[in-house]
Amino acid sequence: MKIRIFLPLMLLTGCTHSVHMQHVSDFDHVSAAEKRSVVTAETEQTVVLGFVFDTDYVDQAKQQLMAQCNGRLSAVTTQYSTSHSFLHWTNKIRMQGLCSEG
Amino acid sequence: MFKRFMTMAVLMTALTGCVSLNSVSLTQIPAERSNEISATSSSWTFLGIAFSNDFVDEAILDLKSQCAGGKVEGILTKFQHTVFIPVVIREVVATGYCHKG
Amino acid sequence: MRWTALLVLALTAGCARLDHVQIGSIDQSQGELVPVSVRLSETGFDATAAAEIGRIASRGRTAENFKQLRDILALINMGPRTGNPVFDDTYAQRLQEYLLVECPGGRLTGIRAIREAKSAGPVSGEIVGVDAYCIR
Repeated sequence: MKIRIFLPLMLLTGCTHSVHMQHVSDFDHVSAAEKRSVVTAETEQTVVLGFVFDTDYVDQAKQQLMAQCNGRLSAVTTQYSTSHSFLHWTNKIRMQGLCSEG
Repeated sequence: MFKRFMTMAVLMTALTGCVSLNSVSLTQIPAERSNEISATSSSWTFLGIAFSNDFVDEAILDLKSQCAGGKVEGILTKFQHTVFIPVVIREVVATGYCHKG
Repeated sequence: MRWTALLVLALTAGCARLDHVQIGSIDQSQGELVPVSVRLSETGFDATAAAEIGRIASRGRTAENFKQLRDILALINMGPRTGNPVFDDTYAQRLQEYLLVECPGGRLTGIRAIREAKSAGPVSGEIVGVDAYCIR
């Protein structure tokens, strides 16, 4: 049970994730005749040893989502997760909505 | 070695005011997005020990007051912590769109 | 000490954990409300905690090896976590799609989004779920 045997093995497991929360907005009553498409936006922030000074990547995800839809966005789901790594990690925001245009 | 490294990491982090996101939510976004409004409320705590969460209501009341008689939609709400050990600042940031008429 | 720790672990196996809950607006004026539910889950495994259990349960050189393993795992899996880590973070991404399958008209109200887990020590079922009413 030497540590040098474990090290290469364990490096393979440095790829875990944690889904912190999933928020679901209200669903509008969209009629079947209305054109409706799914739009998705994803942004992320790399953090080294906890040194991070803003949460602007969240606002960027909203801007990206809105940029894809000129109409109304309903059924918006927001997922916040983190991917773990060696001495650093990546926070991720994923937003998805139904775009109703027309 | 590991303990010394972790102690250094903790000390360095304590001095720099790092931010961590706790939760985020986004409500339905309207087609009309010309009037953006924003509200922030925060609360200082010692070692993160808090006795009330009433500061959250301040953000909601602020948003309401900026859109009197209208409807606020597309609200992006962030709840985050900023740490300056031993002080922890809890903060709610809400941004939305006000539609009147 | 060792057996006490293992006993505590055994007693906490099979527990439920609640991380986040959210309730949306409820509209009972539009028609009949039919409950719909979507649950998406992934196996969570805390390898660091498993190594710590190994350290507590063993002695001498083996315990020292488990301790080193625990430290390495902690270093290579750094970052904030909710529950046990999973090996695939895309398991909850099709939530909206499944909701629309359950309620094709998309007329949903009373949405309750929940982040929870069924936990058995270092192993758990990490769950993202939505309960709602479909207006028919």
